[in-house]
Amino acid sequence: MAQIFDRRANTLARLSIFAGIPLLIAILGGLWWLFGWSDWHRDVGVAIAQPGGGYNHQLHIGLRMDCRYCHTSVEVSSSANIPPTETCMGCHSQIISRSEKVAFIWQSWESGIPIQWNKVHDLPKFVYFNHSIHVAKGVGCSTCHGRIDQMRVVYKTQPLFMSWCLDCHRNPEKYVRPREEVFNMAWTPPPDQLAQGQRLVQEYNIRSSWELTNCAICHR
Amino acid sequence: MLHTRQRRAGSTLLGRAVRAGWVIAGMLLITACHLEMYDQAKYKPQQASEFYADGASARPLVEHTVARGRLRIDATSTGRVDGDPAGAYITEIPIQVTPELLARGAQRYGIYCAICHGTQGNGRGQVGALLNPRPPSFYDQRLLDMPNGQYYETIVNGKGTMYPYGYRIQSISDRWAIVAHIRELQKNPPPQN
Repeated sequence: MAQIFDRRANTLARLSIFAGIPLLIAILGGLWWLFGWSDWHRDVGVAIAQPGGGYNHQLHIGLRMDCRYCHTSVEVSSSANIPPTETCMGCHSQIISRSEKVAFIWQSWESGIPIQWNKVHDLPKFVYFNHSIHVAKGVGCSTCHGRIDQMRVVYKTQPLFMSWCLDCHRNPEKYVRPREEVFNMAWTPPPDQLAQGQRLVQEYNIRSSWELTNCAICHR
Repeated sequence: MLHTRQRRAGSTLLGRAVRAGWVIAGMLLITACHLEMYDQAKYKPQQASEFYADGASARPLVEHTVARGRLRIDATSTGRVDGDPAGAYITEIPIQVTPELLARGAQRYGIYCAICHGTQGNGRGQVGALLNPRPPSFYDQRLLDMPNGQYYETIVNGKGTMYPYGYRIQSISDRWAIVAHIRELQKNPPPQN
């Protein structure tokens, strides 16, 4: 009886197992890698639902409110605080005070139960990020948070990968701006950013990239 | 054929390697993703808590709590003579007014006050315009005559419809810097107020 497959078919069969499986793993691994490093995986650009429809930053900053009017601790503390209900009430006890839109603020004010805002920029617990040092050394709000003044609902504009942090910790001169521009949302790097950045790094005594990339700078 | 089948049963080196490979692949599957380090059993500032009824991990302070070593009852920290709540307001700014302090005051005023009181201090800030009653102009005779201590106290505790700002402007020197800045504004009234 004639054989359908000749002897060489054995090689093919083995090859399909011993090369095909690694190939499949490589493809899946590659997809996994791409997924892991994608902005999509990190929810970049995805608006996070907030109580009461959220705080409209665009509207409030449009009234020339400074970031620090509410986020008072950003210059002195590791965390840029979410304001207490009292801060909301400072205005909304009088302005559109009877609107449905601010009913949840009143509810929190009267019950004493804080409003549970949802965190947008949520770092792992093993990262010790400190806002005050970044603000003091000329890292602007918009460098990491994007144009919050144009957001009706806050979303991430940066993936917050560790490599993203390190990009600046290795070359701070690419991103630092004059201290007085830190809270300016509309600031854009000047054409000579690198030269200016290097000057500011000197002036503000920003540590060397060797020190800034020490593990213990962020992981303690 | 029989010979080949026996080899398939897996006694050769290659067969063993393949079986070992399956075990390793299986072990990879059961490792999964552990996030214990990512979500540690500790609270970061303002994190929600399921433990307390109000859902907050940060606990409200017992009333009248003062941080150890932070108790200050004097004119500088209250705006009244000897820090007596029923005492008279102090008239002088009790810290030295330097150009740096004035610059700081102008900056802080811009952050916390200008939105209602206006950058010029005439009560026509963006939000102030929406208020009823409007915030008064700092150039009114009543406010020109108001003692510095009362300005300080108003910043800390609020007044009328103005909510307290003491918890937002925590530094005593920052509060006096704002008072100094308002005094500086009052020296040069805008053309029409």
